[in-house]
Amino acid sequence: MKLLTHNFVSSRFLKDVKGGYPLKLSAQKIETKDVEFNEEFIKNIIPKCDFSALRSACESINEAANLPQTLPENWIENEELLKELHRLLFCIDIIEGELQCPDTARIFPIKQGIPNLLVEDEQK
Amino acid sequence: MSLNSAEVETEYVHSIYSRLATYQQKDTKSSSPRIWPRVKQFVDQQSTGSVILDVGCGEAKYTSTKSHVIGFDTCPEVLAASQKDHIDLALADAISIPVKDESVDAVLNVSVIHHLSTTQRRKMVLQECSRCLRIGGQMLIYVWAFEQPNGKFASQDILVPWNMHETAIGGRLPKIKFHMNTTKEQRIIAASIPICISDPTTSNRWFSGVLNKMVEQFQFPYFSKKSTAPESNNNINKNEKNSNSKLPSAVPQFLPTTNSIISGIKRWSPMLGKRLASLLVPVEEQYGEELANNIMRESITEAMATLREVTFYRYYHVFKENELNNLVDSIPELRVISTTFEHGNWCVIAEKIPENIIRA
Repeated sequence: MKLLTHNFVSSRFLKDVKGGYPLKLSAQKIETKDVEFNEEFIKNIIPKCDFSALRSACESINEAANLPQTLPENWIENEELLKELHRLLFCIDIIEGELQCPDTARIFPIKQGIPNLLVEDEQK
Repeated sequence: MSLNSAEVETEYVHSIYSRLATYQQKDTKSSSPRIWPRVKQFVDQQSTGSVILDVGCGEAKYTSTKSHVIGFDTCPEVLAASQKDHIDLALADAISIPVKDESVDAVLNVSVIHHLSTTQRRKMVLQECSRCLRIGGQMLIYVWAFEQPNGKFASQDILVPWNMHETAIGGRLPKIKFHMNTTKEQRIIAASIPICISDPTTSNRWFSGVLNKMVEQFQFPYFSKKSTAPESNNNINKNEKNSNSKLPSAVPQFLPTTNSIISGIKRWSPMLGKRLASLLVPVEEQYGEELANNIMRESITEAMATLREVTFYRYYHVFKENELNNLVDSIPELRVISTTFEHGNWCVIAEKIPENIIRA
Protein backbone atom coordinates (compact mmCIF):
# COMPACT_ATOMS: atom_id res chain seq x y z
CA MET A 1 0.00 0.00 0.00
CA LYS A 2 1.36 3.36 -1.05
CA LEU A 3 1.09 6.48 1.09
CA LEU A 4 -0.97 8.03 -1.71
CA THR A 5 -3.62 5.35 -1.18
CA HIS A 6 -3.44 5.88 2.59
CA ASN A 7 -4.25 9.54 1.94
CA PHE A 8 -7.67 8.58 0.52
CA VAL A 9 -8.58 5.73 2.86
CA SER A 10 -11.15 6.32 5.61
CA SER A 11 -12.99 4.11 8.09
CA ARG A 12 -16.19 6.15 7.86
CA PHE A 13 -18.09 3.01 6.78
CA LEU A 14 -17.85 1.68 10.34
CA LYS A 15 -20.94 1.92 12.50
CA ASP A 16 -21.25 5.31 14.25
CA VAL A 17 -18.05 6.67 12.67
CA LYS A 18 -18.49 10.08 11.02
CA GLY A 19 -14.90 11.10 10.25
CA GLY A 20 -12.69 8.03 10.34
CA TYR A 21 -9.80 10.01 8.87
CA PRO A 22 -6.85 9.81 8.68
CA LEU A 23 -6.20 6.21 9.67
CA LYS A 24 -3.22 5.81 11.97
CA LEU A 25 -0.45 3.95 10.19
CA SER A 26 2.16 1.66 11.64
CA ALA A 27 4.55 -0.45 9.60
CA GLN A 28 6.74 -3.46 10.30
CA LYS A 29 8.00 -3.90 6.76
CA ILE A 30 8.48 -1.24 4.10
CA GLU A 31 9.87 -1.54 0.59
CA THR A 32 11.02 1.28 -1.65
CA LYS A 33 10.43 0.92 -5.36
CA ASP A 34 11.73 2.93 -8.27
CA VAL A 35 8.84 4.74 -9.89
CA GLU A 36 9.57 7.16 -12.71
CA PHE A 37 9.16 10.81 -11.72
CA ASN A 38 6.31 12.44 -13.64
CA GLU A 39 6.19 16.14 -12.84
CA GLU A 40 2.70 16.77 -14.22
CA PHE A 41 1.31 13.76 -12.36
CA ILE A 42 2.70 14.92 -8.99
CA LYS A 43 1.68 18.55 -9.56
CA ASN A 44 -1.90 17.51 -10.28
CA ILE A 45 -2.19 15.05 -7.45
CA ILE A 46 -0.84 17.22 -4.60
CA PRO A 47 -3.92 19.50 -4.46
CA LYS A 48 -6.08 16.37 -4.08
CA CYS A 49 -4.10 15.16 -1.09
CA ASP A 50 -4.50 16.07 2.56
CA PHE A 51 -1.05 17.32 3.47
CA SER A 52 -1.38 16.98 7.25
CA ALA A 53 -2.55 13.36 6.84
CA LEU A 54 0.47 12.67 4.61
CA ARG A 55 2.77 14.37 7.11
CA SER A 56 1.48 12.28 10.05
CA ALA A 57 1.71 9.07 8.01
CA CYS A 58 5.34 9.91 7.14
CA GLU A 59 6.10 10.64 10.79
CA SER A 60 4.71 7.28 11.84
CA ILE A 61 7.17 5.49 9.58
CA ASN A 62 10.12 7.88 10.21
CA GLU A 63 10.12 9.31 6.71
CA ALA A 64 9.15 12.90 7.52
CA ALA A 65 12.69 14.30 7.89
CA ASN A 66 12.66 16.22 4.59
CA LEU A 67 8.99 17.18 4.68
CA PRO A 68 7.97 20.66 5.95
CA GLN A 69 5.28 21.02 8.65
CA THR A 70 2.87 22.52 6.15
CA LEU A 71 2.84 22.67 2.37
CA PRO A 72 4.67 25.89 1.39
CA GLU A 73 2.86 28.28 -0.93
CA ASN A 74 5.47 27.99 -3.68
CA TRP A 75 5.50 24.16 -3.59
CA ILE A 76 4.76 23.92 -7.30
CA GLU A 77 8.11 25.56 -8.15
CA ASN A 78 10.13 23.64 -5.58
CA GLU A 79 11.57 20.75 -7.55
CA GLU A 80 13.35 19.26 -4.58
CA LEU A 81 10.10 19.13 -2.63
CA LEU A 82 8.22 17.69 -5.62
CA LYS A 83 10.77 14.89 -5.88
CA GLU A 84 10.51 14.21 -2.16
CA LEU A 85 6.70 14.14 -2.39
CA HIS A 86 7.00 11.78 -5.35
CA ARG A 87 9.24 9.47 -3.31
CA LEU A 88 6.88 9.52 -0.34
CA LEU A 89 3.63 9.09 -2.26
CA PHE A 90 4.67 6.67 -5.00
CA CYS A 91 7.86 4.86 -4.09
CA ILE A 92 7.28 3.79 -0.50
CA ASP A 93 5.25 0.60 -0.25
CA ILE A 94 3.90 -0.59 3.12
CA ILE A 95 4.20 -4.39 2.98
CA GLU A 96 3.35 -5.41 6.55
CA GLY A 97 1.68 -3.16 9.08
CA GLU A 98 -1.60 -1.82 10.42
CA LEU A 99 -4.15 0.87 9.89
CA GLN A 100 -6.14 2.03 12.89
CA CYS A 101 -9.48 3.85 12.95
CA PRO A 102 -8.92 7.15 14.84
CA ASP A 103 -12.47 7.04 16.29
CA THR A 104 -12.96 3.40 17.32
CA ALA A 105 -9.32 2.19 17.51
CA ARG A 106 -10.30 -0.74 15.33
CA ILE A 107 -7.27 -2.29 13.60
CA PHE A 108 -7.06 -3.17 9.92
CA PRO A 109 -4.03 -5.33 9.10
CA ILE A 110 -1.80 -4.80 6.06
CA LYS A 111 -0.37 -8.08 4.77
CA GLN A 112 1.77 -8.64 1.69
CA GLY A 113 1.10 -5.07 0.69
CA ILE A 114 -2.69 -5.38 0.82
CA PRO A 115 -4.70 -3.68 3.60
CA ASN A 116 -7.76 -5.61 4.72
CA LEU A 117 -10.71 -3.26 5.25
CA LEU A 118 -13.42 -5.91 5.23
CA VAL A 119 -15.79 -5.93 8.21
CA GLU A 120 -18.77 -8.03 9.24
CA ASP A 121 -22.19 -6.66 8.25
CA GLU A 122 -23.20 -5.84 11.83
CA GLN A 123 -20.16 -3.54 12.23
CA LYS A 124 -21.12 -1.34 9.29
CA MET B 1 -35.88 -22.64 -5.86
CA SER B 2 -35.45 -19.90 -3.35
CA LEU B 3 -32.11 -18.73 -2.01
CA ASN B 4 -31.49 -16.03 0.52
CA SER B 5 -29.73 -12.97 -0.79
CA ALA B 6 -26.74 -13.04 1.57
CA GLU B 7 -26.13 -16.76 1.07
CA VAL B 8 -26.22 -16.58 -2.69
CA GLU B 9 -23.52 -13.89 -2.77
CA THR B 10 -21.29 -15.78 -0.34
CA GLU B 11 -21.61 -19.16 -1.97
CA TYR B 12 -22.09 -18.37 -5.65
CA VAL B 13 -19.96 -15.23 -5.96
CA HIS B 14 -17.25 -14.75 -3.33
CA SER B 15 -16.17 -18.34 -2.75
CA ILE B 16 -16.28 -19.20 -6.42
CA TYR B 17 -13.96 -16.36 -7.40
CA SER B 18 -11.51 -17.47 -4.69
CA ARG B 19 -11.57 -20.95 -6.15
CA LEU B 20 -11.15 -19.82 -9.71
CA ALA B 21 -8.23 -17.61 -8.68
CA THR B 22 -6.28 -20.65 -7.51
CA TYR B 23 -6.54 -22.22 -10.96
CA GLN B 24 -5.74 -19.06 -12.85
CA GLN B 25 -2.66 -18.49 -10.72
CA LYS B 26 -1.13 -21.70 -11.95
CA ASP B 27 -2.40 -21.79 -15.47
CA THR B 28 -2.69 -18.44 -17.11
CA LYS B 29 0.00 -16.20 -15.64
CA SER B 30 1.58 -15.91 -19.05
CA SER B 31 -1.55 -15.00 -20.96
CA SER B 32 -2.89 -11.51 -20.36
CA PRO B 33 -6.48 -11.11 -19.13
CA ARG B 34 -9.10 -9.82 -21.53
CA ILE B 35 -9.07 -6.03 -21.58
CA TRP B 36 -12.30 -4.30 -22.59
CA PRO B 37 -11.33 -1.47 -24.97
CA ARG B 38 -14.06 0.86 -23.73
CA VAL B 39 -12.96 0.50 -20.10
CA LYS B 40 -9.35 1.10 -20.99
CA GLN B 41 -10.38 4.14 -23.03
CA PHE B 42 -12.30 5.53 -20.00
CA VAL B 43 -9.20 5.07 -17.80
CA ASP B 44 -6.90 6.65 -20.40
CA GLN B 45 -9.27 9.61 -20.87
CA GLN B 46 -8.86 10.74 -17.24
CA SER B 47 -6.56 13.73 -16.98
CA THR B 48 -3.02 13.21 -15.66
CA GLY B 49 -2.91 12.99 -11.88
CA SER B 50 -6.43 11.57 -11.44
CA VAL B 51 -7.39 9.16 -8.70
CA ILE B 52 -9.46 6.24 -9.99
CA LEU B 53 -11.23 3.58 -7.92
CA ASP B 54 -11.72 0.17 -9.50
CA VAL B 55 -14.52 -1.31 -7.39
CA GLY B 56 -14.56 -5.10 -7.66
CA CYS B 57 -11.28 -4.97 -9.56
CA GLY B 58 -10.73 -8.74 -9.72
CA GLU B 59 -7.51 -9.36 -11.63
CA ALA B 60 -6.71 -5.61 -11.63
CA LYS B 61 -6.73 -5.40 -15.41
CA TYR B 62 -6.96 -1.63 -15.68
CA THR B 63 -3.80 0.20 -14.63
CA SER B 64 -2.43 3.60 -15.52
CA THR B 65 0.94 5.32 -15.49
CA LYS B 66 -0.59 8.81 -15.33
CA SER B 67 -3.40 8.21 -12.82
CA HIS B 68 -3.41 6.58 -9.40
CA VAL B 69 -5.66 3.51 -9.54
CA ILE B 70 -6.88 1.88 -6.32
CA GLY B 71 -8.46 -1.53 -6.81
CA PHE B 72 -10.90 -2.96 -4.27
CA ASP B 73 -12.09 -6.52 -4.11
CA THR B 74 -13.50 -8.87 -1.46
CA CYS B 75 -11.48 -11.86 -2.59
CA PRO B 76 -7.99 -12.20 -1.02
CA GLU B 77 -6.89 -14.99 -3.38
CA VAL B 78 -7.70 -12.89 -6.44
CA LEU B 79 -5.91 -9.80 -5.09
CA ALA B 80 -2.84 -11.73 -3.96
CA ALA B 81 -2.50 -13.10 -7.49
CA SER B 82 -3.08 -9.73 -9.13
CA GLN B 83 -0.45 -7.46 -7.56
CA LYS B 84 1.43 -5.43 -10.14
CA ASP B 85 2.85 -1.99 -10.84
CA HIS B 86 0.67 1.07 -11.36
CA ILE B 87 -2.21 -0.09 -9.15
CA ASP B 88 -2.66 -0.31 -5.38
CA LEU B 89 -4.96 -3.02 -4.04
CA ALA B 90 -7.11 -3.32 -0.91
CA LEU B 91 -9.63 -5.79 0.45
CA ALA B 92 -12.94 -4.01 0.80
CA ASP B 93 -16.63 -4.41 0.13
CA ALA B 94 -18.39 -2.43 -2.61
CA ILE B 95 -21.16 -1.58 -0.14
CA SER B 96 -18.71 -0.03 2.33
CA ILE B 97 -15.89 1.52 0.33
CA PRO B 98 -13.14 2.75 2.69
CA VAL B 99 -12.58 6.08 0.97
CA LYS B 100 -13.17 9.75 1.93
CA ASP B 101 -16.29 11.54 0.67
CA GLU B 102 -16.06 13.33 -2.70
CA SER B 103 -12.36 12.60 -3.08
CA VAL B 104 -11.82 10.63 -6.31
CA ASP B 105 -12.01 11.62 -9.97
CA ALA B 106 -13.43 8.45 -11.49
CA VAL B 107 -14.90 5.07 -10.53
CA LEU B 108 -14.86 1.82 -12.49
CA ASN B 109 -17.82 -0.39 -11.67
CA VAL B 110 -17.30 -3.15 -14.22
CA SER B 111 -19.18 -6.44 -13.93
CA VAL B 112 -19.86 -5.94 -10.23
CA ILE B 113 -23.45 -5.06 -9.43
CA HIS B 114 -24.84 -7.96 -11.48
CA HIS B 115 -23.38 -10.18 -8.70
CA LEU B 116 -25.50 -8.48 -6.00
CA SER B 117 -28.74 -10.23 -5.29
CA THR B 118 -31.32 -7.52 -4.49
CA THR B 119 -32.22 -4.17 -6.06
CA GLN B 120 -31.59 -2.52 -2.70
CA ARG B 121 -28.03 -3.88 -2.51
CA ARG B 122 -27.28 -2.96 -6.13
CA LYS B 123 -28.45 0.57 -5.38
CA MET B 124 -26.32 0.70 -2.22
CA VAL B 125 -23.20 0.00 -4.28
CA LEU B 126 -23.98 2.82 -6.72
CA GLN B 127 -24.70 5.19 -3.82
CA GLU B 128 -21.44 4.28 -2.15
CA CYS B 129 -19.45 4.83 -5.36
CA SER B 130 -21.22 8.14 -5.86
CA ARG B 131 -20.31 9.23 -2.32
CA CYS B 132 -16.61 8.76 -3.12
CA LEU B 133 -16.78 10.71 -6.42
CA ARG B 134 -15.98 14.42 -6.54
CA ILE B 135 -18.54 16.70 -8.21
CA GLY B 136 -18.10 16.28 -11.96
CA GLY B 137 -16.38 12.92 -11.51
CA GLN B 138 -17.59 10.04 -13.65
CA MET B 139 -18.42 6.40 -13.09
CA LEU B 140 -18.36 3.68 -15.73
CA ILE B 141 -20.83 0.84 -15.05
CA TYR B 142 -21.02 -2.47 -16.90
CA VAL B 143 -23.59 -5.19 -16.24
CA TRP B 144 -24.59 -8.35 -18.07
CA ALA B 145 -27.80 -7.92 -20.07
CA PHE B 146 -30.94 -10.03 -19.95
CA GLU B 147 -31.27 -9.38 -23.67
CA GLN B 148 -28.67 -11.61 -25.33
CA PRO B 149 -27.98 -11.88 -29.04
CA ASN B 150 -27.28 -15.61 -28.67
CA GLY B 151 -30.12 -16.91 -26.52
CA LYS B 152 -32.65 -16.20 -23.84
CA PHE B 153 -32.25 -16.39 -20.08
CA ALA B 154 -35.09 -18.14 -18.26
CA SER B 155 -35.01 -15.58 -15.47
CA GLN B 156 -33.18 -12.42 -14.41
CA ASP B 157 -31.72 -14.20 -11.36
CA ILE B 158 -29.63 -17.13 -12.49
CA LEU B 159 -26.81 -19.49 -11.66
CA VAL B 160 -24.51 -19.51 -14.67
CA PRO B 161 -22.25 -22.47 -15.31
CA TRP B 162 -18.54 -21.82 -15.65
CA ASN B 163 -17.42 -24.81 -17.61
CA MET B 164 -13.81 -25.58 -16.96
CA HIS B 165 -13.68 -27.48 -20.23
CA GLU B 166 -14.24 -24.15 -21.98
CA THR B 167 -11.56 -22.36 -19.97
CA ALA B 168 -8.20 -21.70 -21.51
CA ILE B 169 -5.50 -23.61 -19.70
CA GLY B 170 -1.91 -22.60 -20.31
CA GLY B 171 -3.27 -19.94 -22.65
CA ARG B 172 -4.81 -22.51 -25.02
CA LEU B 173 -8.43 -23.47 -25.47
CA PRO B 174 -8.97 -27.22 -25.49
CA LYS B 175 -10.12 -28.91 -28.64
CA ILE B 176 -13.42 -30.46 -27.67
CA LYS B 177 -16.28 -31.08 -30.03
CA PHE B 178 -19.53 -29.36 -29.13
CA HIS B 179 -22.94 -29.34 -30.65
CA MET B 180 -22.45 -28.21 -34.20
CA ASN B 181 -25.00 -25.43 -34.20
CA THR B 182 -24.49 -23.74 -30.86
CA THR B 183 -22.04 -21.10 -29.71
CA LYS B 184 -20.41 -20.97 -26.31
CA GLU B 185 -22.83 -18.19 -25.27
CA GLN B 186 -25.84 -20.21 -26.34
CA ARG B 187 -24.71 -23.20 -24.31
CA ILE B 188 -24.01 -21.10 -21.22
CA ILE B 189 -27.37 -19.36 -21.44
CA ALA B 190 -29.23 -22.62 -22.07
CA ALA B 191 -27.54 -24.29 -19.10
CA SER B 192 -28.20 -21.40 -16.67
CA ILE B 193 -30.47 -22.19 -13.75
CA PRO B 194 -33.22 -19.73 -12.79
CA ILE B 195 -33.49 -19.04 -9.06
CA CYS B 196 -35.61 -16.90 -6.75
CA ILE B 197 -33.88 -14.58 -4.32
CA SER B 198 -35.51 -14.18 -0.93
CA ASP B 199 -34.56 -11.24 1.24
CA PRO B 200 -33.56 -12.52 4.68
CA THR B 201 -35.02 -9.40 6.31
CA THR B 202 -38.49 -10.09 5.00
CA SER B 203 -38.69 -13.87 4.63
CA ASN B 204 -38.66 -16.55 7.26
CA ARG B 205 -35.22 -18.10 7.51
CA TRP B 206 -36.57 -21.17 9.28
CA PHE B 207 -39.02 -21.87 6.50
CA SER B 208 -36.44 -21.56 3.74
CA GLY B 209 -34.11 -23.82 5.74
CA VAL B 210 -36.77 -26.51 5.92
CA LEU B 211 -37.58 -26.04 2.28
CA ASN B 212 -33.96 -26.49 1.31
CA LYS B 213 -33.73 -29.68 3.37
CA MET B 214 -36.81 -31.14 1.71
CA VAL B 215 -35.56 -30.24 -1.71
CA GLU B 216 -32.20 -31.84 -1.02
CA GLN B 217 -33.85 -35.24 -1.21
CA PHE B 218 -34.32 -34.87 -4.91
CA GLN B 219 -31.51 -35.55 -7.29
CA PHE B 220 -30.38 -32.69 -9.41
CA PRO B 221 -29.88 -33.57 -13.06
CA TYR B 222 -26.29 -32.46 -13.43
CA PHE B 223 -25.60 -30.32 -16.42
CA SER B 224 -22.71 -31.42 -18.45
CA LYS B 225 -21.45 -30.50 -21.83
CA LYS B 226 -23.52 -33.36 -23.19
CA SER B 227 -26.88 -32.16 -21.87
CA THR B 228 -27.16 -28.66 -23.21
CA ALA B 229 -29.10 -29.41 -26.37
CA PRO B 230 -30.99 -26.34 -27.60
CA GLU B 231 -34.36 -28.14 -27.66
CA SER B 232 -34.22 -28.56 -23.88
CA ASN B 233 -34.20 -24.78 -23.51
CA ASN B 234 -37.88 -24.44 -22.76
CA ASN B 235 -38.51 -21.90 -20.03
CA ILE B 236 -41.66 -23.44 -18.59
CA ASN B 237 -40.25 -26.94 -18.49
CA LYS B 238 -37.06 -25.65 -16.99
CA ASN B 239 -38.82 -23.80 -14.20
CA GLU B 240 -40.94 -26.81 -13.35
CA LYS B 241 -37.97 -29.07 -13.41
CA ASN B 242 -35.97 -26.81 -11.15
CA SER B 243 -38.74 -26.08 -8.71
CA ASN B 244 -38.38 -29.59 -7.32
CA SER B 245 -34.72 -30.19 -7.98
CA LYS B 246 -31.70 -29.60 -5.86
CA LEU B 247 -29.47 -26.71 -6.84
CA PRO B 248 -25.92 -27.62 -7.72
CA SER B 249 -23.33 -26.53 -5.24
CA ALA B 250 -21.10 -23.72 -6.47
CA VAL B 251 -18.12 -26.09 -6.44
CA PRO B 252 -18.81 -29.76 -7.03
CA GLN B 253 -18.59 -31.87 -3.88
CA PHE B 254 -16.93 -35.23 -4.24
CA LEU B 255 -17.47 -38.35 -2.17
CA PRO B 256 -16.14 -38.14 1.37
CA THR B 257 -13.97 -41.25 1.51
CA THR B 258 -10.66 -41.10 -0.23
CA ASN B 259 -10.55 -44.77 -1.14
CA SER B 260 -13.82 -44.71 -3.02
CA ILE B 261 -12.65 -41.66 -4.93
CA ILE B 262 -9.40 -43.28 -5.86
CA SER B 263 -11.07 -46.47 -7.02
CA GLY B 264 -13.54 -44.38 -9.00
CA ILE B 265 -10.76 -42.37 -10.57
CA LYS B 266 -8.74 -45.51 -11.23
CA ARG B 267 -11.57 -46.95 -13.25
CA TRP B 268 -11.81 -43.79 -15.20
CA SER B 269 -8.12 -42.99 -15.48
CA PRO B 270 -5.76 -45.69 -14.17
CA MET B 271 -2.72 -43.44 -14.36
CA LEU B 272 -4.22 -40.57 -12.37
CA GLY B 273 -5.63 -43.02 -9.82
CA LYS B 274 -2.19 -44.48 -9.25
CA ARG B 275 -0.63 -41.06 -8.80
CA LEU B 276 -3.29 -39.98 -6.32
CA ALA B 277 -2.95 -43.22 -4.35
CA SER B 278 0.80 -42.78 -4.08
CA LEU B 279 0.27 -39.24 -2.83
CA LEU B 280 -2.17 -40.38 -0.18
CA VAL B 281 0.06 -42.53 2.01
CA PRO B 282 2.80 -40.07 3.02
CA VAL B 283 0.27 -37.27 3.36
CA GLU B 284 -1.76 -39.29 5.85
CA GLU B 285 1.27 -40.20 7.88
CA GLN B 286 2.30 -36.59 8.11
CA TYR B 287 -0.91 -34.75 8.76
CA GLY B 288 -3.51 -37.22 9.91
CA GLU B 289 -6.64 -38.35 8.23
CA GLU B 290 -8.74 -35.22 8.38
CA LEU B 291 -6.24 -32.98 6.71
CA ALA B 292 -5.43 -35.68 4.20
CA ASN B 293 -9.10 -35.89 3.29
CA ASN B 294 -9.17 -32.16 2.72
CA ILE B 295 -6.06 -32.25 0.61
CA MET B 296 -7.46 -35.17 -1.35
CA ARG B 297 -10.73 -33.38 -1.96
CA GLU B 298 -8.90 -30.26 -3.12
CA SER B 299 -6.51 -32.15 -5.34
CA ILE B 300 -9.24 -34.19 -6.91
CA THR B 301 -11.34 -31.12 -7.62
CA GLU B 302 -8.25 -29.63 -9.15
CA ALA B 303 -7.47 -32.73 -11.15
CA MET B 304 -11.03 -32.86 -12.40
CA ALA B 305 -10.96 -29.19 -13.29
CA THR B 306 -7.74 -29.68 -15.14
CA LEU B 307 -9.44 -32.42 -17.04
CA ARG B 308 -12.19 -29.91 -17.74
CA GLU B 309 -14.99 -32.07 -16.42
CA VAL B 310 -16.03 -29.74 -13.62
CA THR B 311 -18.73 -27.13 -13.76
CA PHE B 312 -18.69 -24.16 -11.40
CA TYR B 313 -21.72 -21.95 -10.90
CA ARG B 314 -21.80 -18.20 -10.42
CA TYR B 315 -24.77 -16.04 -9.48
CA TYR B 316 -25.85 -13.21 -11.77
CA HIS B 317 -28.72 -10.77 -11.87
CA VAL B 318 -29.00 -9.90 -15.57
CA PHE B 319 -30.32 -6.41 -16.34
CA LYS B 320 -33.22 -5.64 -18.68
CA GLU B 321 -33.13 -2.63 -20.98
CA ASN B 322 -33.42 0.65 -18.98
CA GLU B 323 -33.06 -1.16 -15.65
CA LEU B 324 -29.52 0.13 -15.10
CA ASN B 325 -30.51 3.66 -16.17
CA ASN B 326 -33.45 3.61 -13.77
CA LEU B 327 -31.20 2.42 -10.96
CA VAL B 328 -28.73 5.26 -11.64
CA ASP B 329 -31.60 7.75 -11.90
CA SER B 330 -32.87 6.66 -8.48
CA ILE B 331 -29.75 8.27 -6.99
CA PRO B 332 -30.33 12.06 -7.01
CA GLU B 333 -26.66 13.11 -7.31
CA LEU B 334 -25.98 10.92 -10.37
CA ARG B 335 -26.86 11.78 -13.94
CA VAL B 336 -26.64 9.38 -16.90
CA ILE B 337 -24.25 10.69 -19.57
CA SER B 338 -24.45 7.78 -22.01
CA THR B 339 -25.96 4.33 -22.38
CA THR B 340 -24.75 1.65 -24.76
CA PHE B 341 -25.34 -2.04 -25.42
CA GLU B 342 -22.12 -3.89 -26.06
CA HIS B 343 -21.62 -7.62 -26.65
CA GLY B 344 -24.49 -8.56 -24.36
CA ASN B 345 -23.71 -5.96 -21.68
CA TRP B 346 -25.41 -2.72 -20.70
CA CYS B 347 -22.91 0.08 -20.20
CA VAL B 348 -23.70 3.41 -18.53
CA ILE B 349 -21.44 6.39 -17.86
CA ALA B 350 -22.83 8.50 -15.00
CA GLU B 351 -21.61 11.82 -13.65
CA LYS B 352 -21.90 13.28 -10.16
CA ILE B 353 -23.75 16.59 -10.26
CA PRO B 354 -23.62 19.50 -7.78
CA GLU B 355 -26.28 19.80 -5.10
CA ASN B 356 -27.74 23.09 -6.38
CA ILE B 357 -28.54 21.37 -9.67
CA ILE B 358 -30.21 18.48 -7.85
CA ARG B 359 -32.53 20.89 -6.05
CA ALA B 360 -33.38 22.86 -9.20
